[in-house]
Amino acid sequence: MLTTIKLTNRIDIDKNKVQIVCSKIELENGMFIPKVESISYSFNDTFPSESKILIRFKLNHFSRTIDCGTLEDISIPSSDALSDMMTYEMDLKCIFCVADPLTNRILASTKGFKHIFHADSGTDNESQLSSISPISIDFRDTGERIWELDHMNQNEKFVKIFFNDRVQNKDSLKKNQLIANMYLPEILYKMILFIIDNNLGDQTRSRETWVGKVNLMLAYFNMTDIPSADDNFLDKEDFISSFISKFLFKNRNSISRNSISKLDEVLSHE
Amino acid sequence: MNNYQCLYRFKEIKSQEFLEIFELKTGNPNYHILTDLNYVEPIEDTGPIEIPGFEDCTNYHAGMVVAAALNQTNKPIRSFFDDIGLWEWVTYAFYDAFHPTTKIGKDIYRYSPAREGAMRNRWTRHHIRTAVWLYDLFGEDSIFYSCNRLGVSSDPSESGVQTSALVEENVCKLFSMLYYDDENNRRKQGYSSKPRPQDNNLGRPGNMFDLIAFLKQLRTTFVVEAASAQELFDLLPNRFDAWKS
Repeated sequence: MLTTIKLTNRIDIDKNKVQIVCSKIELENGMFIPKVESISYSFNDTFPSESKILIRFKLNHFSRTIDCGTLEDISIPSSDALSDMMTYEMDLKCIFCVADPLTNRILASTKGFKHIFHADSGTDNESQLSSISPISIDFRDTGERIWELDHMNQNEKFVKIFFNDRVQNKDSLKKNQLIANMYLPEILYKMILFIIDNNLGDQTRSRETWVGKVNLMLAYFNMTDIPSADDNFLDKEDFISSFISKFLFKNRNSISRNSISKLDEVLSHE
Repeated sequence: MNNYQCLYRFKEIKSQEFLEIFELKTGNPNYHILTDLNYVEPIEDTGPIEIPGFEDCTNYHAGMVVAAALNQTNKPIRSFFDDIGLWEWVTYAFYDAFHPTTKIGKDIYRYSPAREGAMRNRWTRHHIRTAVWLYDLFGEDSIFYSCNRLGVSSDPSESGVQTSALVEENVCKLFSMLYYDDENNRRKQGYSSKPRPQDNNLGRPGNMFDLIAFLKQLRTTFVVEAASAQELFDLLPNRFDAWKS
């Protein structure tokens, strides 16, 4: 089992508690540069108010760190601060850091990249799937069930899975790969069947809705020949099953292998 | 030694003429096509270029002369990185300057570069574009990355720049401070020695790979990009001491 022991005092900031809005400025030659429009945060961790905000931007092969003032007084970088990050395809991501202004020690940062713009046209970028999750987890009274699936609405950004709110270790549950392995195949099955039965396959590929995200995932696995609602049920099942196998194989290290080792560990204590 | 009034781009990328030389290795270059407007188009405002002979030419030299021609446009050099026709033309023009052993290489990305967004370890493979990129960023200090004969790749120009966050002036200077022998104008012996069984297959302590790993780890808790090369030098643990002299 993989256990992470943290030896530093650096705090992980939830990526969703940081908002960075950028726009794309088109240049004469058809290339784009990013421009930071606004920066805000809503995390509750307390740091000295004079702590610096640093944002590490990454665009393709180029990185740039920008000083964005302090937690108390955020300063928006000038419009040309990222002018050397020019590109035809804007695939911009960043790491938000809070640093001690005197020692340059990083007190906190978002773990992993927070995507600002995605380049969805290519399929050569391994990192593209990492932030595409169409599923979100929440808690509510689910009676005697451990979890249940919320009503699926094609216009929403996520399909919600609700776990029983009597669960004590809510944060651990969200990260537990064994549990993810238990519900993912069934959820993915239901999501793709919904897309097929409503003829939503391949209509939109975007991160705006969970349907768009699933379509992006299908395209990533070259599964663009999506059955329609009128197709034979067995064809639909074959298609969905093939996708789930490919998805789990791609994520075998993070999901399957971790789950099996976790399962063995749990059973060994019985 | 050939001279051109400006830089050109091939109209067709990965053309038969190009692939015969750089992928199939079945032909000899026909330099007439480099100015034949049936094959190429001039790139506006670029300066003249003199292609150095083989004996003179390192990746650094190539990067310097191409950067000089591109700088005449007054446009950022980065705006040319995805101009694949340009980099193929430059590669073709430098054919005679490539080290002979490299002309049989099979990796087409070393001659016809990967576009942005391609997998990161391919983007840095192009011999000349990477040298131009590094020269544009670090000027003379880029010699640490690019001092090999043209076409002979090296760990600094590949592994050393694949982590884009470490492509910073202070890190470039730190590399030079530790691993470059100024007196002899070459990198110090053993600077990138590969892991050996007798070291339990771990990286050799204090070498360039060790430094990259150290800096990556340091970045999680320290604003490396805000430190000077000397400050980073002073922060290095004891295992780097052997390289400090």
